Amino acid sequence: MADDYRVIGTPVVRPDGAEMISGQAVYGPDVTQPGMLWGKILRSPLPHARIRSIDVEKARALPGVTVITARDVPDRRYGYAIEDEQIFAVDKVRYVGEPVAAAAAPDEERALEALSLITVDYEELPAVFTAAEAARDGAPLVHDELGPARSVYLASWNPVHGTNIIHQASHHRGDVDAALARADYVFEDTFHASQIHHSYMEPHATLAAARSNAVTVWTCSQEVFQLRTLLAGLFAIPESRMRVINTKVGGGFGGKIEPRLEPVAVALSVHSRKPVKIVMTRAEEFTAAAGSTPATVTVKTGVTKDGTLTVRDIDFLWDTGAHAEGLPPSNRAMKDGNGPYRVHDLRISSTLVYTNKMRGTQLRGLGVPEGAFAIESQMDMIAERLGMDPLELRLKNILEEGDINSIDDVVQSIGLRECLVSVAKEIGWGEPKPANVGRGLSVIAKSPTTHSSISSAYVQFNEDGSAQVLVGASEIGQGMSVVMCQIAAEVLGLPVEAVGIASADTGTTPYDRGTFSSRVTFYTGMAVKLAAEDARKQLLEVASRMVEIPQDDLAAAEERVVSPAHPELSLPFREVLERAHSYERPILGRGTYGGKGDYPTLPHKAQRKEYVPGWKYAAQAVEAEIDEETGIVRVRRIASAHDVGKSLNPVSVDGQIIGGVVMGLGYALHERLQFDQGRIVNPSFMDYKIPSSQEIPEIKPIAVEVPLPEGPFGAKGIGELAIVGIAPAIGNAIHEVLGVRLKELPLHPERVLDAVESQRKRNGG
Amino acid sequence: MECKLIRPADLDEALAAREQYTHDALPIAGGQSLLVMMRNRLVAPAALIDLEPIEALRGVEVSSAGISIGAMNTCRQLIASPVLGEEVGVLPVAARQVSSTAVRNLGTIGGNVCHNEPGADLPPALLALNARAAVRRRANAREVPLAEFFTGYFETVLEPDEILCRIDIEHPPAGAAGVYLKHAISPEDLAMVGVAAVVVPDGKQTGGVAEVRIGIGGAAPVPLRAARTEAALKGAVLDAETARAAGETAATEVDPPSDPHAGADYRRKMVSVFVRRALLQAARQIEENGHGAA
Repeated sequence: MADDYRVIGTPVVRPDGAEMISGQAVYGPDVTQPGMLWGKILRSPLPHARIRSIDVEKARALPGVTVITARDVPDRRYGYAIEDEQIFAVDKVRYVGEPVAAAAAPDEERALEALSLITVDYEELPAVFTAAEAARDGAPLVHDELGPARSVYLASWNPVHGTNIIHQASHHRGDVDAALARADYVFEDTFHASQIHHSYMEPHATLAAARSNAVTVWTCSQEVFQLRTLLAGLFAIPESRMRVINTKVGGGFGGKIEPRLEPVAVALSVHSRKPVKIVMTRAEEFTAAAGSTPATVTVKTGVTKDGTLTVRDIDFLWDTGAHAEGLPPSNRAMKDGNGPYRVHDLRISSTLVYTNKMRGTQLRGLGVPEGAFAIESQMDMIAERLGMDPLELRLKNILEEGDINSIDDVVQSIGLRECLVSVAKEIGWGEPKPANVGRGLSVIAKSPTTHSSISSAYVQFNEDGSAQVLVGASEIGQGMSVVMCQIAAEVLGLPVEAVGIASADTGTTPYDRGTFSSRVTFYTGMAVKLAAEDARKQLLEVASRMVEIPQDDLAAAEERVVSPAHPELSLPFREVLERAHSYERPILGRGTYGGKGDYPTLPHKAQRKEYVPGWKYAAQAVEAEIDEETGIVRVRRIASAHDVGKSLNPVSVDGQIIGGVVMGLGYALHERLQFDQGRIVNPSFMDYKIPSSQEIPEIKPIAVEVPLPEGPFGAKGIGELAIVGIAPAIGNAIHEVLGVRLKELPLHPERVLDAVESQRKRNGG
Repeated sequence: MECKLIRPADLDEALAAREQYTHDALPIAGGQSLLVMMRNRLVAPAALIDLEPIEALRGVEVSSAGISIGAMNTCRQLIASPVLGEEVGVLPVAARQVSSTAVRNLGTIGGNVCHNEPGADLPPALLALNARAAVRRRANAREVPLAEFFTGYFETVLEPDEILCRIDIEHPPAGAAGVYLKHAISPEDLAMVGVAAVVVPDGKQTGGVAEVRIGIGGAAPVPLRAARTEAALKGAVLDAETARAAGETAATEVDPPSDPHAGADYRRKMVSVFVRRALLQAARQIEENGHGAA
C-alpha cells in the first residue's frame, strides 16, 4: 500500500492530553447536578448466607434520606451473558461485597450513617472458594438455579444444571488421542493464573437523574448502548427515554463494560426523585467491582523429534466468582487457547464455574493471558527437552500466511515472524550475558471479536468548513478520539485540528457496540472512514453544481475543492458549505461497519461463512536480572512487537504498547487479589501492588505493518495484546537463570525462592 | 466527620492541648500516615493538634553530648543535612528510602517513629545508632531509649498527654560504618525487611570489630535490635563466614508477620540474607576507607 497519506501514520498528540494531565478533564466522579444526592451501598459481609430479614426503619427515619432494598426495585434479573444478577441480593448473598441495600442523602456522611442503621439478619451457608471445589458433585450451589442465557455471547449454551458449572464448551479437530499416541514426545503441564484487578485510576462513578418520565445517566462506561438497553429493560421504559452519556473514562481495561453502579443509582433516583451520584471507594473497587477471570490451564502437547508440534489438548477451568461475567474469556479460549501455532490435531475444552467470591469479568486480553502463560511457558519446556533454541522452536511452528489456524480459517495478513525476529534482535537473543541475567520470549495472538461487532459513525461538515465526527464508541483513555479525527481528516482533505469529535452518548451519537476487544480502531475506524467518504461525496456534489464541473473530476484537498483536470479551480470548503447550509442541505455523512457482507475483499475463498478478519499478532521479549537469594526479578528491558497492519498514529501505538507491557509486568510479577474465606485481604494499592514508575524498565515498542485489507488504511487493533506475553517471557527468563519452572502466577519473589529450594531438595542439596 | 484543628503557638500550648484532650486528639506532624488512616476511617480523632508551628521541635543540634534531631524534621531535611551525613550517615541513607518524594517532603522523623508501622525505614537505623527519644508532657520530661520505645504493632510508650520532641543520638565511635538495606518490591513500599547495621572496627586487624549494632524492621510486630547476633559478633573478625552465621542467628531473633506482601518464612529468610549483606557491606566500607561513616 502506497504510503502517501497526509495525516495517517503521522504522530499526532491527542488534543485532550493537556486537560487530562492538568486536572481539567471531567471524569465520572466530577459530574454534578443541581439538587444532587449522594448514594452509598450496603454490601454483604458474608460470602454465602440466606437473608432472613432486613430492617431499614431506623435508617429511613433519618431526615432527607432514601433507603431501598430488593423490595423497592424491579424484580428482574440481568446480565450481559447469563441473567444471574439482581440490583440487590434477594433471599441470599453470594459474595462478600454484594449489594444488599442502598441509601441516598444530601451528603456522603449521612448516607453512610443511614447504612449503619440498617440491620440484616443472615443465616450463614456453606461456601465454595475455588473452581475445583465448586465443580465437584455435591458442592454448595452458588445459584440454586441457573438464570437464562442471552445468545449474544453464545452460539449454544451448555450448562450443567444442578451444579455450579455454568458453561462447558469444546472445540475439536482431527484425532487428538491418536496423534498424542503417535507423537515422539508428549508434554503435560498445569498452570495457574491469578485473579488481578483492572486498577484503572478513575473509580466507577455514576450520576442518575430520573426526571418526569425520562432518565439520564452520566457514567464512565466502555459500552453505552448495551448499558442503555439493559437499563431500559430493567426499569421497563423505552430506550428513547433512557439516555446514557459517557463521561471521560479514566481507564477501563474491561472493568467498565458491564453495569456496576448504574442500576442502583437509577433506582435511588427514581425513589428520591432527585439526581443521585455514587462513586466507588478504592476498597469497593477491589472488593465489589470485579477482577479478571482466573483459570487453571492444563496443556498436553505432542511433538516430533525435530520439534514439529503435531497435536494439542488444552483444558481450561475458569473461576468466575458469583456472576457469569467470565463467560466471554472462557468462550474465547476455544479460539485463542492454542496461541499462534500450526497444530493439526487440536482439542480445547473450557469450563466456567461459579464460586462465592467477587466476580471475575473481562480484562485486557480477554482470556488470552491465562492461556498464553501456559502455552508459552510450555514451549520453552519443550525446547529444553529437545535441545532446541526456544526462538528456533517458535519460528518452526508459528502460523504463516496461508496456514490453517485453530478455528480452520486460512491465515491472512500475518506479520508474526517479523515481530518475533525483531524482538529477538532487540533483546540481544543469543548474545553473551552475566549468569544472573535471563532472557525470555513469547508469541501471542488474539482472534477478532465476532458477535454483532457493529459500529456506525456520522461525519458532518460545519459551516466554517471544519468537520465533526460522531461515534458511539467510548474514549476510555486509549486515544480513540485522535485516531478517529485523523481518519476523517485524511479522507476529507482537512488538517487534523479541523476535525472535532463527540462520542458515546446514546442521545446524540450513532450506535456502536462499544470499546472492548481491541475493536474500535478497526470497526469504528472503518465506520468513520466510510462516513467521511460519504460526506466528501456530498460536499463534492454541491461543489459540482456550483462550479459546473462533473463531480468525478473534483477532489478535496487542503480545505478546498480542486480538480486535476482544472488546475485553476480552488474553491474553499467554506464557500461550498455556505451554499449547502443556506440553499441546499447540510452535509451529514453516514457509515457503518461490521455487518454481514462488509468484508468483500476477502483474499481467500476457503474461509468459513462466519469468517471475521482481524486477528492480532505480537511477539515479546524480556531481559531480567534475578537475585537467587531473594527471588526478586528485576526486569531490565522489554521489547514488544505488534503487527498493527498500519500504524495510524505512532504516538498512540507506542502508548498502547507501553501501557499494556507495564500492566503485563504487574500481572507477571506481583498482582493478585488475595482471599481469605472469600474476603479480599489486600483491597488497597498499599497491599495490591501495581508497578510504580520506579520498576518500569526500558520498553521498546515495535510496530510491524502487514496491512489488513478490511481495516481502515490497513490497520488492525492494538489495545490488548501487549499485556499478554510478559508473564511467560519472564517465566522463561527465570528458568534460564535458575533452572526452575514456575507454573503459578504471579512470579512473586517468595514463589521464586520456594521453587529454587524445592529444586535444591530434589537434587539432594 | 467533624474534626477540630488546634494550632498551638509553642510547645507549652501543644502540651496543654495534649493534657486537655488526651485520647480525643492526635498530634499531627507531616500527616502522611495519619491523614490516610483518617480517610480510611481507621481513626476518627475529635481534634488534631498541629505540631507544624512549634519551633522547639525543629532543627538539628550538635554538641559534645551528641546530635539532637527535632521531631518535626522531614525526611527531606534529614537527607539534606550535611551534619547528619557526616555524623550518622546511615540515617539519611534510610530516610532516602522512605516511600516517595512527596511523602519524604512532608513526612517527619517524629511521625515515622510514633506511627511505628512495621517496615518503616527510620526505626532500624535509629536503633542501630542507639538513639533515644526525648519525650515531654506538661508536668515533666523523660528520655526513652528507642529500643524501649516501640511496644507493639503500631504502638509505642507514648502516653496520650505526651509529645515526642527530639531524637538524641550520641556521637558514633570513630571509624564506625553504617549501612541500611531495604528489601521491598517497589522502592515506595514499606520494607518487607529493613536492616541497619552499625559496625565499629577494632582498629587492629582487617575485619576486626569492636562492636556491631543491628536494627531490623518489618520482621516482628516492632522494630528490634538483634541482641544475640550482636553479642556473638563482639570482638569477631567480620568475614563471609561470620556474616553468614550472623544472618542465621538474626533470623532466629525475629518474629515476622505474614501479610499480603510476604509470608513469615520468607521474611525470616530475608533477615538472614540482608543481615549478612549489610554486615559485609559495612566491612567493605571500613576496608576501603580505612574507616566507616556511620
